[in-house]
Amino acid sequence: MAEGMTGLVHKYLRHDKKFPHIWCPGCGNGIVLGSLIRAIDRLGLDKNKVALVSGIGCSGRMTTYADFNTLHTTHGRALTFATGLKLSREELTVIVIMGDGDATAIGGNHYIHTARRNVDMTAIIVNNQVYGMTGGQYSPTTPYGARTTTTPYGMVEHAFDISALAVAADASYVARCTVYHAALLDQLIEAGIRKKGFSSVEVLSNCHTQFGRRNKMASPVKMLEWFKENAVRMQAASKMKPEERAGKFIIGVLADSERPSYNEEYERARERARGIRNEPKPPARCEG
Amino acid sequence: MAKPGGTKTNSVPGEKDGTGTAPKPEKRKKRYRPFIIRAWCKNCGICAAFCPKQVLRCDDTGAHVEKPEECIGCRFCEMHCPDLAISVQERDASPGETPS
Repeated sequence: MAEGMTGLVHKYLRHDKKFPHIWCPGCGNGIVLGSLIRAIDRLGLDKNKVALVSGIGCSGRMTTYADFNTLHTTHGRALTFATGLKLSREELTVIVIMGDGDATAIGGNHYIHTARRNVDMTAIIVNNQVYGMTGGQYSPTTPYGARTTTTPYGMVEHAFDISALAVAADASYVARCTVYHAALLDQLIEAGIRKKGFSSVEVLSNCHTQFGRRNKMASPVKMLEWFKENAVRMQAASKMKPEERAGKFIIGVLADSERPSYNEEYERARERARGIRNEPKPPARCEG
Repeated sequence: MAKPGGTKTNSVPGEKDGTGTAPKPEKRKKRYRPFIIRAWCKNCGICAAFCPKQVLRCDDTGAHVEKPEECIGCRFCEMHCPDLAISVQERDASPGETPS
């Protein structure tokens, strides 16, 4: 058994599962798993009070390895299962792991509406910009011009900005990071879990097997260097011109606000129904 | 000619005038080294490529700790190992020691 920080991570793993894990050598999912565990440990949460929910895809395997209450759900529906879980078991800290396919393609609508409802949970979106598990087809987050198995002459569509979507839907906390910036990722996940309301942490991850191989980045090292060179902190990006920002990944906290969570609002409605509280003032009616 | 306050030469080195603070013990520099769980390593090369001191090296059989004495304890390899196979630990700082 390892000591130090890794020993700490190993404490939260299910050692009866087959290790080394199933992901490709150098896959960013392992880095995200390490960051998530370190963040949970730093918060001092009891592992029986944490629920980890995942969807389908490479990132969905994370619930197999991590020793929390885990729920491996259907494709794109991780957030809906997690919403039900949070409403029935409010004491649990709910963390949802999704891929870019889960969050923006098959479960795109769930993502927008969970952010709008502000359900108290943390969504970690491992964005590897491609459908890695099924053979490298393009996803809604594949950058313009990138080659995949289904876009051999370059992607003709423009990519979804997952974090901008969450900001527009008024999520309480929105952050973006890359797997190269693992120390920052620890902090962002920790802040996301701490936040009451919906927190979205988008992590740009490397799929050198399916994405990098067709885009001149066939090794994990090359992909991590790509993240290193093109990542710009939020403060620095605000001073940049729009044309300079093209092709860059803006990392850091993108939105942080206070808004009552869905659970709080629902509880208030229940109290009103029981007559414990007075009715809130209805919105002013338009005259004429 | 004796200067006023010439008893200075008798004062303990590091002692400030009249405050009586004891000299600070010499701070020992912390030393580190990475350990690799060989059974978990998939030889992806991230640790060796990004190590600022080239402590680690990857060959056909996986990652190796080549120069443990150079490790500065930045923990980049530990945090970025996708297989959770590296742990950076403090090692004893006795001079001339070369851990195996």
